[in-house]
Amino acid sequence: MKDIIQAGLERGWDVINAATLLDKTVLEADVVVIGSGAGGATSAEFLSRTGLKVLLIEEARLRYQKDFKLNELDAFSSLYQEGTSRKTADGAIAIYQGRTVGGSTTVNWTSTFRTPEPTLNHWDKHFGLREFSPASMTSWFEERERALSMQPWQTAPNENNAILKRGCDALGWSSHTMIRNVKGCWNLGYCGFGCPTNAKQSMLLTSIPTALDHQASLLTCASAEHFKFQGDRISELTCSIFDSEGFQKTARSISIRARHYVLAAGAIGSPAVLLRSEAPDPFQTLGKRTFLHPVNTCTATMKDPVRGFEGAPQSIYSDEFLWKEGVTGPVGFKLEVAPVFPGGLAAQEALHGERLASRLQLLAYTNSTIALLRDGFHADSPGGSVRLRHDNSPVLDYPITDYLKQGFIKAYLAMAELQFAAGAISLSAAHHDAREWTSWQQAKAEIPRLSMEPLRAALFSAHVMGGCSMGTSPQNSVVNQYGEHHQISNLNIIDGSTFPTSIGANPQLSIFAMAAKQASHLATRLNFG
Amino acid sequence: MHLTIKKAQQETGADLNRRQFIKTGLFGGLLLSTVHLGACSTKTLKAPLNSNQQSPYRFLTRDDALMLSALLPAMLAQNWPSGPAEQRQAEADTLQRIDTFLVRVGSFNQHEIRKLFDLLQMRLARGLATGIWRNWETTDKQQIEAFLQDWKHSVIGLFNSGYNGLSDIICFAWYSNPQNTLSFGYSGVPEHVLQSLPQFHNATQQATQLTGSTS
Repeated sequence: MKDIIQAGLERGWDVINAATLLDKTVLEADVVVIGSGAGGATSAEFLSRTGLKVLLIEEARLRYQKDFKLNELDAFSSLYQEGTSRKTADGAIAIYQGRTVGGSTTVNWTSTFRTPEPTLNHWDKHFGLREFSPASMTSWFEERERALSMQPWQTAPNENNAILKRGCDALGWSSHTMIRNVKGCWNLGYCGFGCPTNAKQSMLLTSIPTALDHQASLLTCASAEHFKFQGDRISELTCSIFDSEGFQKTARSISIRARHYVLAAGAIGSPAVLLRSEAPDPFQTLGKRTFLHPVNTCTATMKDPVRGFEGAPQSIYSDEFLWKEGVTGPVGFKLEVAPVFPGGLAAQEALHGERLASRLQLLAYTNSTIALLRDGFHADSPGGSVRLRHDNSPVLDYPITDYLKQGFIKAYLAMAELQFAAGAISLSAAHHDAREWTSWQQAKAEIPRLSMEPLRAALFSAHVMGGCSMGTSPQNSVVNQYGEHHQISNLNIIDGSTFPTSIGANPQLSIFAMAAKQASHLATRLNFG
Repeated sequence: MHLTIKKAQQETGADLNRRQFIKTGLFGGLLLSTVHLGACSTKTLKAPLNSNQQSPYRFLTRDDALMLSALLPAMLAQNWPSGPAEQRQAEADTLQRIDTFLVRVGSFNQHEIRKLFDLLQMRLARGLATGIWRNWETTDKQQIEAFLQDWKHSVIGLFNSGYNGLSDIICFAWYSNPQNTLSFGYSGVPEHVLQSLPQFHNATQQATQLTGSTS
């Protein structure tokens, strides 16, 4: 089996671990791209293809097939932000974001959706984003779908996903087969651990190799700290250096000078770099309107084995409740399932002792259904805000408003009804106060009484969006439609942080297509502008 | 104290929350200042509070290890092994896994966890916050269970977070070890995958899996 990364390194790709650099080293490039996830890697590919000298920097160490050994503890602690311990400021919502070369695309579950048309139309209507109308995005979606092998999943869904389909069928709810970005997938189920077979067409195996083949450089273990400004331009970027494993920050730093800067550190990282830089923010829009697709969970025990740790983690979804009450009405939600691995299940359940022990004993019979709330489309869902802690690391304050609380309760009800309709023997909400229910009637009676105050429910997010909103007016946004910063002339922000609302679907293709479009525009500007 | 907590467990959730609120209202300020003092007196992340013996871990102190060992049987309930030799082995493995995990959570989380662990080791603060006044080694499983339930159902976010933190760290470290989940139907990566993929072929690479190898 050919490993693209190993082969590229042997061919002489310019990949540098910053831990090997001396203190105060200065590096130069045409464009420096900060962050190697969906936005940064796509930008690096499109910029380097036009002959620009790109330096792509990543805080984590390079990890690839040889490191992907499918060990839950090792994968979760080495490939995710804060070793999977990242949470909102009050601790109420766990945040799973990739922290590795390729960013979240290296550890995501490959679920692929075009940005829903109601979302794009909402952006046009409320934020003036003409460039993102469904018609002007189609060719970008098509191009990225081809480039990243995004196709409807042809294999039968695993039982965990089949339950979602059966439940929907029984209740007359819609459900569909997902599109996945895989090539020669072994259907193992370990997508979240780093794909062991190189089947997942993540940034690690697509855009990053393309950029490196076009003379881009990749600098790992370097973390963007702050910009220095001269007038309305960035004159220099200071990066701190991590140790060669990428876990502990050293006291050393380096400087990077470039004609142009692309910030793509994700919806928490990108605002953090600008906050640390004390960047101009005349209308106090930076770090605001951060969205999460906050997720709640119902965990069911089924009659027959589910073995939710085997097979493509997500292959079926239901949008029955996503737009039902209008784009700007009560919060809609997307229904999906989560893979069921023992460590993940233990961490997700917010339990301990006998109840957790019993739940784990039923591991092979467990279905985990999740609801992703579509936040940011209503005045009562203003999102969170990113701020810096005393040590200059970023944290997200995300209030769970009454509007969202009502959405969580509706989502618990829908999930419980669905799981019982699919044949669950019993189920419970992942919530401190929920007991095990043995009938839909029981669940229906008790779910509305669950408190949604912070820390009662086990909530998580795998989709952090916003914080550097796109818009036509500087008064309510940080960048324009091309990702160009309103006040800083040589800075683009190209990542999920520029979404003005959440997406309403797993966001990878939304970021890929937007980044391809914006980076192409930037390449033209830098080459011919 | 033991009896009081047992009685509290029979109360309804609302009564329990009220009782917890009163306890925290009276002692909360004192507790928080004790934690603060503890945090200030902790010069480095690893500095042990009550022990001058060297710790074999990178993050955990010997006192952390004693405290976590006491929590393990309550956290894992019927899944905790019953034989003394198996328990010793399970304890050693799990503490090592917890340590590996905590080395990687980043410096902010490490400081927060250090404050929590220090709180749980300072006699006065621990007594006020958990109702456990004895040493961890001599505290029985029922008392620990009562303390965990107390924190889980407290109306005080600080205690909820403390409960979530402890249960996450300990239960994730335990259940993410495939050796501990064999009887639940999950034994780790299937044999045919181990046979076919190159990353599993180099024995030395496997051995360094948890410490990580350099690229």
